[in-house]
Amino acid sequence: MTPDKISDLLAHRDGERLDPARAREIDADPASRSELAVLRQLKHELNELPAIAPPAQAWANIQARTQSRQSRFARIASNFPLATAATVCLATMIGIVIWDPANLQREAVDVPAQVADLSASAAGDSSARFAALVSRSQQLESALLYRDGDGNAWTSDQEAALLYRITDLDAELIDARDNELMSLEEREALWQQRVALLEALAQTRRAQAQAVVF
Amino acid sequence: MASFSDIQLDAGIARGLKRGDEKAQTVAYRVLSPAVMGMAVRMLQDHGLAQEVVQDTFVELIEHAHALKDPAAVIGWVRKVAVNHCLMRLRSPWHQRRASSEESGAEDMADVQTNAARGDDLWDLEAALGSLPEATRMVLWLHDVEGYTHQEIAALAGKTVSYSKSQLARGYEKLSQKYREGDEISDPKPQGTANSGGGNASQVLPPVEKRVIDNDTGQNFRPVSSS
Repeated sequence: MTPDKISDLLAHRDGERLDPARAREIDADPASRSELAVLRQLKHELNELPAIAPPAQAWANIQARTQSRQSRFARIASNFPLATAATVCLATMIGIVIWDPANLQREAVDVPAQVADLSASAAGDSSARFAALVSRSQQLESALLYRDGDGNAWTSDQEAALLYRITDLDAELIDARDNELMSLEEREALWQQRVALLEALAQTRRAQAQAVVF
Repeated sequence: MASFSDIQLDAGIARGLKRGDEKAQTVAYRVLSPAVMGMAVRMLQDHGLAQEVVQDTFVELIEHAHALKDPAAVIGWVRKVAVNHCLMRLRSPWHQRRASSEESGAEDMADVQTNAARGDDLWDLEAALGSLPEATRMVLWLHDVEGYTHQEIAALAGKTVSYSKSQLARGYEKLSQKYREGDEISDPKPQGTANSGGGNASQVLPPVEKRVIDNDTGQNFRPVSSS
């Protein structure tokens, strides 16, 4: 049985549109009818495969994750609006239809006042380069937030990956600032990564916009 | 059964999820997680990754349920998120590298498993499914178990409708071949299947008891209900 023949049989099995002559041919041919019965049986058996209960520990892991993420997210959201927008956007990306897009807009219009504080404190650390990085990050973030404010749902894997990395990076930056764990050079390296990720995100958006135009 | 389509979630549970009620979250997990795990195991063929999918899906549900506009859409939402998490893992470079190195030996392994199963006169659909290339397996599961259309699968995979159809045909070509090979060796299939002609197979297919596999003990038990 060739894949083309099987395609026809599957279309026939699933009630899809099929050339009437071909449908009659299948119905008249014992070999095709036999194969059709096997295809039906296989579908039936696939649907009867049992569900699988996850290990007992899985639910406890989920609860632990949601509790730790809730506290972590609250800290990130108060410091980095893009991380908030990123998370909301990921939710939008995955559940595009049933989530309220107004949430995205509400999160997105919260302009990064806290980032400006960071910039000031960075300047106080006497590194002009560091301040420039923070400022650049702020500019990029504002631009991206402004675009998100249009309520567009963007869904590419590349963007999702970038947003996840930005969120993780923000968590590191907040930990570093709160706990004074890193030297200025180490923090500068993280801010460089943040700027690079934001630029990559902006570039991805531009490429997508061009793809839509053309 | 592994499909989401047979699951009922009480409306009160869905509303509780929206409110962030912990009891509702626990019940929703108990009702929905076996379907998520079942789908992820079949699509990914890896219990560890499937557990990750379950955890990521329910973390998303708990964290974002408050924004659900329609509580009745919880089951569909969970399925959509779980499918996306499966696809993310299938697309990850790490998984692709591993899959390509294992794919060459997968068919041989599946043959071994199938042969072992034949020793007990059983047709092993799980092993046959595991022997398919992952893209084929994904299309087959989404189309025939979860009820996705070829258009929806094409959009998810970033491919064409023809791609989805050809993967489905390719999958059934292999499954059907293994099924017939098993049929020659093992006991006859239920009456009216392999040689029943084009009649409505659902009239002659045997009822299969609905069950859930306990991943900790490997035993079967009846699925729980939310109501």
